[in-house]
Amino acid sequence: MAPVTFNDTVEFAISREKEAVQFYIDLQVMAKFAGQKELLKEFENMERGHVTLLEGVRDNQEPARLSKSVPADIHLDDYLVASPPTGDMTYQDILITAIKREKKSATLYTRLRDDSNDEAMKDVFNRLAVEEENHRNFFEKLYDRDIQGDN
Amino acid sequence: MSIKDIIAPFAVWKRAFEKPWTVKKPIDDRPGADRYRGFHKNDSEACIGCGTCETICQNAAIDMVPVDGVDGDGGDSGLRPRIDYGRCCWCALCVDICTTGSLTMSNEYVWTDTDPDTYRFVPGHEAKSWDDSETGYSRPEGYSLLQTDRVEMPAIPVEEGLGSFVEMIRGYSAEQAVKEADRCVECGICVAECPAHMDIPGYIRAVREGDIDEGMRLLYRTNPFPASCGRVCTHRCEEVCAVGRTGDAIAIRWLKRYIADQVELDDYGKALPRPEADTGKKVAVIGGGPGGLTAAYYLRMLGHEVTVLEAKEAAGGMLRYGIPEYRLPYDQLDKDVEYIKSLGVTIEYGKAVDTKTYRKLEKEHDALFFSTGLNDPYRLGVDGEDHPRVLAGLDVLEDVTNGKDPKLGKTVAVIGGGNVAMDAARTARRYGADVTILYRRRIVDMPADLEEIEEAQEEGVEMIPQAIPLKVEPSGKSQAAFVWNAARMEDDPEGGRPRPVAIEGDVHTFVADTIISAVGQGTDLEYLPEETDSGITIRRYKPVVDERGMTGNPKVFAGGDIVNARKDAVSAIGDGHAAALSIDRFLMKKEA
Repeated sequence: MAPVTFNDTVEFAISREKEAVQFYIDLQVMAKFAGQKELLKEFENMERGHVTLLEGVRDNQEPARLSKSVPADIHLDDYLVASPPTGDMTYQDILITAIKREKKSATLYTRLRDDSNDEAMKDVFNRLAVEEENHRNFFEKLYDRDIQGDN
Repeated sequence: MSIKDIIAPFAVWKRAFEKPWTVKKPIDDRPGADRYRGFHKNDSEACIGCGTCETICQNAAIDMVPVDGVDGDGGDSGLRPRIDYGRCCWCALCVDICTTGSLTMSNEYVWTDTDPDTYRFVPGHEAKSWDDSETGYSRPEGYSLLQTDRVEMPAIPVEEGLGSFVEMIRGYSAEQAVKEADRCVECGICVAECPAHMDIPGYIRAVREGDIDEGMRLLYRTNPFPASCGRVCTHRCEEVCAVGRTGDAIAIRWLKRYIADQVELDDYGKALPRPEADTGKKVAVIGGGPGGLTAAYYLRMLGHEVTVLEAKEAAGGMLRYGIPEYRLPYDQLDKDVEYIKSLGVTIEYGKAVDTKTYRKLEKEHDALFFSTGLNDPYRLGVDGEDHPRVLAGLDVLEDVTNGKDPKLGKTVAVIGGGNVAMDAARTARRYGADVTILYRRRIVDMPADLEEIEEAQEEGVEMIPQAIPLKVEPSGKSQAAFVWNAARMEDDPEGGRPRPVAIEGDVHTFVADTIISAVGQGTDLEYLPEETDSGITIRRYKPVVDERGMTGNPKVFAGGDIVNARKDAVSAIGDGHAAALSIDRFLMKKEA
């Protein structure tokens, strides 16, 4: 069921970010070597930062703390295909997974925004979608620079 | 006496009431001729501080000095000419030799001041009344004291080259090399740009003077891969060459090759210094590529015992397994490697390092250097790429190095625009395939060296730019279809690479016997223990090192493609050299 109040919505978003934190913790357990673990730890900490951001939004009742604009889209998500996580996952695999997760969240918030009849709630969902798009853009820029530097 | 004689002196008086025929200096200025050689002007934006004006000045009237607001990077020394009008004779040789044409002269010639020091000034940085003067002397169009045309490098014809893996570039003759070397103005702008900081003016001078042994010594001071680097260096030095500002850059790379080509391996020892006395210190090097072997060479020269562990059956790293023989013949790479070995560096082949071996090496050696390169090709990342006819560019190149026919078929698609893509495409052409490169961005955005792109095109490689990969599908019995979306380009508002954006519905299919993926490659750092254990921080799959190449563990150093952003052989060589000096300071407890 879709959240209907501001607090419900932000709590929902916080729970999703906490899931993301746990996701990267689980991947670290699965990871076999130092390079993987350090990258996954970095991403875990990023997600923790998102939790903190949203808690600040909730505690201060300030959706304005969220990102306001979507950066230019690199569109890598349009064609990249994620592989199921394994202990041998590469930098490329981890980045694609991260891109896909952020895209999934952005899509969810966009759908909730479109389904909502409450203008204030539409704004909150929109801001959350924009926030997730910013996260996706961050990972896509890393991918474009570090993975497909020759393309 | 006639009446005329009496009146004549008084006739002069009438002149007193006419306009003067002379100039009331300094009250009235008389302009200099349009091309008068008056006070200097310098377009500081165009000037690169090469100092050629200082060198040519016969009166030592010019000094190159640092000035505020000019940074010394990217082909600019950061210096600007300061001219002393107590010495200048306004001969304009400085203007005639100026490599950028930034130095000119106004037609102003009057300047009075009570302070003699003001007559020593930096044109273009100290505002003068003649700065905006449009008249005065500048180097005439088409006239140059510089020799602007490069001596053409002999190469075998493309049609002939495609028939084999024979080296395309033939190398300069002695006469050609001296002629080319003679074009160099020895400004040294190139030295800062070279990642290995080679003494380029020095070795070019050695070519000019016919002193090959001195040339070899200068090469080996900072680069123990002259035969290889003289062929495949990315020659950033040439991009900033002062002569290249108004003509062809000096063929620095080819002159380096010329020196190495003149000396047989057996004679290297006659020209080059021997290692210092043994220090009793032991260093392990992981990776026998240009970074690792460079570190090994300089560590050995400093008297340390060095063992290199190389995972493959031969040393050289990407120089051997990533660059085809038509660009770098193996015997030339072997020449570089064999000389390093001849000094007492031990290379253990077929020794892939894992975490256990790493710990053992660290324990048993006084210091450790790792430079294992970018050996893991990244995937296209699209649906269907597990098709058996999708191969990695690096794997194709390695197969060829190992003498294995990659069996690419008649039609080959190469995905990517870097040097691996170009090398894979040109290799496929040599196996008789029709080759098409598909690249996400424009040709001008390709990260491959421009000459590689041009040579690929000359060899008949077709290019489809702005092609976004969508997926790979089976086609027929054994072919694969590469499905791509045509793109329009958008500028990156943050100043990064322009972005391809798919044009909706503009989807195409390219059917090929083989699709070669060459979109990028990454590191394999599986052998490194975790930070708590090793002291090495890894950030986004890159070991973190300081400017000395030192990791968080003071006895462990790293360099090459796994660390630097440039990802080319000469940068790895620069890293290896710098790390060797740092390791020596660490081992011998020397001050930095």
